Amino acid sequence: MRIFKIIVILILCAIILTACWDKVEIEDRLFVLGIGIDKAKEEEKSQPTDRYVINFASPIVSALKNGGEETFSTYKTISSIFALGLNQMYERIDKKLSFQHTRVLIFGEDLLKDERLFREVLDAVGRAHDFHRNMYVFAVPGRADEVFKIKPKFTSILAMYVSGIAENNLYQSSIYKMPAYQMYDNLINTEGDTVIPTLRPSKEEAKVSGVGIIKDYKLVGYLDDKDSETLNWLNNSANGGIIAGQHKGVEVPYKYNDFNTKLKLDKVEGDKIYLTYNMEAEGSAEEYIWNQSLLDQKLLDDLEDNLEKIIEERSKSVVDKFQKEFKVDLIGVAEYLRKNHSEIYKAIEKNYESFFESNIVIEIEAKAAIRRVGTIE
Amino acid sequence: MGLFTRRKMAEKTKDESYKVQSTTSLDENLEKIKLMLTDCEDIIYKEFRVGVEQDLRFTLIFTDGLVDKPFINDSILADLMYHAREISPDAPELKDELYKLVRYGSIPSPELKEIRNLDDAILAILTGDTVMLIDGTANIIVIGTKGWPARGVSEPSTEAVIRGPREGFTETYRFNSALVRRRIRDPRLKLKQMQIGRRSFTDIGMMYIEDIAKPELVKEVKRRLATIDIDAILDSGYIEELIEDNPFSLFPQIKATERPDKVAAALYQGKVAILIDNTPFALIVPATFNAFFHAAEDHYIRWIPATVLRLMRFIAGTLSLIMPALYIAVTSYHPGILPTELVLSIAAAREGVPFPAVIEALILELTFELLREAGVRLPTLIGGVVGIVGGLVIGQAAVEAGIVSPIMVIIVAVTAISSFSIPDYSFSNAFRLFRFLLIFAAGFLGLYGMILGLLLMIGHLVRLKSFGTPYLSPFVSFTASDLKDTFVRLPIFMMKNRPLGIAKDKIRMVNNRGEIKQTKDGYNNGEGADKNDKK
Amino acid sequence: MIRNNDNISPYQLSMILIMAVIGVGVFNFVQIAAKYGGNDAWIIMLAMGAVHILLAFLLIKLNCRFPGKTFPEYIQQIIGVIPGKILVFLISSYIMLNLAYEVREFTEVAKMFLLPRTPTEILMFALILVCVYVVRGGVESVARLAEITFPILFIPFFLVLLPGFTSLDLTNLLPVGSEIGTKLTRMVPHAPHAFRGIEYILFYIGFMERPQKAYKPVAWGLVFVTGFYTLVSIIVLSAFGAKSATKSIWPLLIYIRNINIPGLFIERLDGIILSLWVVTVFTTIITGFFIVTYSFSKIFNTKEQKQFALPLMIILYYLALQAAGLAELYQWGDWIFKYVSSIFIYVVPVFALVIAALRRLGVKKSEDF
Repeated sequence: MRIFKIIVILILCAIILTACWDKVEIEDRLFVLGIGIDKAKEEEKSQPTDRYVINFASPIVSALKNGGEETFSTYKTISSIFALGLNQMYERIDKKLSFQHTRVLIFGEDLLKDERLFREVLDAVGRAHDFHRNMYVFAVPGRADEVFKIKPKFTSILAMYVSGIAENNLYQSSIYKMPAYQMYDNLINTEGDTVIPTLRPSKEEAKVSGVGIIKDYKLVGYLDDKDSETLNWLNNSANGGIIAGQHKGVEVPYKYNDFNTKLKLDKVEGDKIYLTYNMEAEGSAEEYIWNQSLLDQKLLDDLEDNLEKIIEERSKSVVDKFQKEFKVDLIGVAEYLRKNHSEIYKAIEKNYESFFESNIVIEIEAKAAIRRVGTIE
Repeated sequence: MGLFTRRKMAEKTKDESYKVQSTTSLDENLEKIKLMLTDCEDIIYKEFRVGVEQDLRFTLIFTDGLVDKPFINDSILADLMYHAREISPDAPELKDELYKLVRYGSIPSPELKEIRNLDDAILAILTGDTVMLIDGTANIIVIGTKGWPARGVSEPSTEAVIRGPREGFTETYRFNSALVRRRIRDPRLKLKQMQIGRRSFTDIGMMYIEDIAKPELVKEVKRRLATIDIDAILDSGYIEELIEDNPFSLFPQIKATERPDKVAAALYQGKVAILIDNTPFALIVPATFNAFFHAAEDHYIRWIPATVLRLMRFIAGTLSLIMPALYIAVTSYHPGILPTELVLSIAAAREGVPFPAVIEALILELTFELLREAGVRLPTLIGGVVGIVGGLVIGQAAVEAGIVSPIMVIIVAVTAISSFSIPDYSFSNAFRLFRFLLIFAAGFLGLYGMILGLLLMIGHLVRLKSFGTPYLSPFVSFTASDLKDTFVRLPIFMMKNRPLGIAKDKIRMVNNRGEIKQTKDGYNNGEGADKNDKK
Repeated sequence: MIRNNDNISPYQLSMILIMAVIGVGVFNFVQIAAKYGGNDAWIIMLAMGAVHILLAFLLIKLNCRFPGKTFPEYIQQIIGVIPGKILVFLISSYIMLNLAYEVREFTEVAKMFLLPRTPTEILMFALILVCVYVVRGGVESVARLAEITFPILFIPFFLVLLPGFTSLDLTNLLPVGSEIGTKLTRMVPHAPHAFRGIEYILFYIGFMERPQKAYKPVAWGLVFVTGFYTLVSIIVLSAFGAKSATKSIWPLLIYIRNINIPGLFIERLDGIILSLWVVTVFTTIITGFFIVTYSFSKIFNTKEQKQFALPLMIILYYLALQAAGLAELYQWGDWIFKYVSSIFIYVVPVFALVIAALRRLGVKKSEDF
């Protein structure tokens, strides 16, 4: 028994002293903070099978410490399979790739338009164990590698800059925030439909405005930033923003910090379903004309009416776009019916798309409340 | 073989018949004693004769330096040599009754006993008592004259408190038992004395309160103490190692303390204390994991701060155990756990460090352990200097030389500070060693290895028992009421029971807080004030 | 020396039960529940929990007829020595398989998320070795371990779940209770998947001073287990919806990955949870492994169970290495839990009880309830 014990201890010691299979020191890792994926153009291909162009951005750690010129570096790899592209990087760098801190995932327009490629990438990212599911997803109208040429002015790291913009949606609802896990949930629940916020790169900065509409794993169109704000309203995910109201020819910015939307089934008549979005906004109006009182219930009532009209009109137009133009339900109607009126949903489930286009009638009822008017009367 | 001879020796020392019996002849006895104490030149033989005819022979034997000489002069020699002369010389019965007269009459000493064998006499001499041989009788009188230079009662240096008694045990066994007795004026507080050590004959006292301590526990302690057969006991550490349940464990299963109030508190909980001569440390059994995190002060300061401090202590203990391992596991294996910004700044700090995090941690931890050891051994004044040199100079220089990263220095420093918050020295040693084991485990298998290391520790603790009490109680063998004195320290009036696992007599107090009624002016007109007065 | 009295308290019994039943399966089980139970998986969990409490009472009844005796002892009395020994051997083999499955599943999860390059053998070996150390300590150690690991495991676990609560969307649970009947029938064969481990109490109650006192702790233990499963199902279902919950193999883990706590020391919690989950696998193995060693000591009529720990560990290790991969492992698991488990959890104890009653063995009525 004693000999056995000694042998076990010796074996353990030997193992411990010789092997640390997974140990990678933190400074030997290359933290990939942003990934951009494009469909390879013909002229880029080094081999005819190549299909993807993958761009990375990762910080240069020593520069963060000593304050070098370049604080992040970008890499580009071209390959036929997504994972292969990642692994090819090892031929060119002396560090180990780490995707545990990836913050931003950016798709190029071409890729999104190719269903096969898009689904392959989705699966690769979804299955991989080390991707952070909280990373933000963006679509670029154009090519994703444009983004990696930006030198951001404020934040030293590109991916942080982009993900920081997405988090600004608390103050500006035209920024649509789409974490990866939510995109995957949408894609699973709707079998291929989702929205992806668009990122428009320019030389020194990027701009998140509007969303791209994915239908059956394919990009079918874009909404501009005004419409993406409206989409946020419809999906009850708006957290704050400003609506420009009109009062007697004066533009009054209405700053809402709370926006609640509830969907309600009104009635089923024949083969038509009547639904209403009840929206309730709450906020303040803090800009009018100098030396004119805003603290006047009559004035505010008028303003509120005007705002409500604007909200309703804008919502209606977006709903129409979804119903008529894109023919895809990304405004939560199917979800609502499935959860709350499952018997109705079951009946229309089979060819929901055409049903959504023609047989669902949507009303908008908005209420905007102006609670405060700033510090001046 | 070894077992056999050992038993024989034990029998020899215990068996009465092996002892040399005294005879009626003083010369013979004296000769035998002198033979046995040959070359012991600190033994003093004082022969003197008493009586008108100077024909009554006495001999006093004692050890120089261990006895109270003025007492021998004034109370033994003076009485016998001078006063005896005043007795009528021709009392015929005097000679016959000489022994009885001396034994019961003429020595004004509170401690007198008689023995009939020379081995005990020699032991008494070496203990510091004085032995009186009287010609014509085989009885030997032992007079308690112990008096040697002793350190006075002073504040215990290892367990200082801000609020609470400042007394600590000393090296003198008798003082120590008195210090405990002063706190428990209960006839049911028992003190069983024995002498352990075939050569040292060290006084060992076992204290317990009869109707609180479980009889099985008392019996078990007695049994374990009785099995000890060793030449000498020099410190409580000897006894601890010889009687604890698992001497191969890193964790101490017996608590050593310098504080009489801690001993008294333990006795009131139904534990057994062992006092040992020549050491200021008393042992308390059974000792549990929980008890090692308790400081003496916890029960003296108000309960809310006491609770907060205790929680802090437990957290600090955990930190001191896992912090370096956690750092290694996270940085070398799972950087995904940390926020991105933190990861980047750690990576930046580690840039250029030539060693892997494990080696880095080991270097710094070893340095720290060396500093700590050096600080303990050196005189207090130089110890501080070592701290400064070690902590500041080496830390700073190592970082600047690029051998270690500044974050590692922070980690090790926090670990060090945390480890000092564990009140018990030998217990914090266990944590120190386990910390290294965890560092290896984390370096080998990351978080998984660290958790397995911790599970190994928990598995070990779970198997451990201290004198029949599970080491992890009251967290295991769970009794809700015992949890009142663990991570938290509830107000004293809420802890109405003694620890149920250990004590036999469960009720500790009756909560009379309700009787402290508040009238409008805050006084109660002295109602019930004489409740505790003597009738 | 104060001897180990080899007794476990009622509280320890319920801890053993909880730690034995809740194993690594929780990660995967929600997926199965969502697959068959849809968004009503949590109601089904509740119902199954209630049924299993009743079943556990049957097991206790069986034990109560033979106070102070464990299953391997009295089964030899009920159906004869040799058949009894064979049955005990079969049960312990089944438990071994069960444990091997558990060990393998966990190492696969750990390999996936924590240590992708470390050999499976090392991961298993390290885990099993620590288990053997505790199992050699006997029933008292096992009981105390279950007791001490319970708060260590569940307090941090619930704390970790808390920050994600804000992002839960309870409307995902709607509609409640549609087609509950078909869902239930589809789910029933998979019940042992969640509740395997309750048969262990057949063995552990024998170590109690008074088996009559087992009703309450066992009921509480199962209430906790059921509550835990229900809570986890609700969380996962409301976070993802039934459809995407079925998509991932370990939906609970994915849920925990999605939790984001900005501004803290820890950003991602899955590493923490997985390493905490070592603890539950550990206790599941220990509670089962002790039974196996104990059964072997009864089969071979030896006094101690210690000496069986190491050789059996090697067998366990060997068994765990058999599956080729996760797919095969889950296939086997499905088969074992659907058919084999049901026999040993439901059929065997009930039959033993019936035979004991027919042969009028043991104490008939327990004097106090």
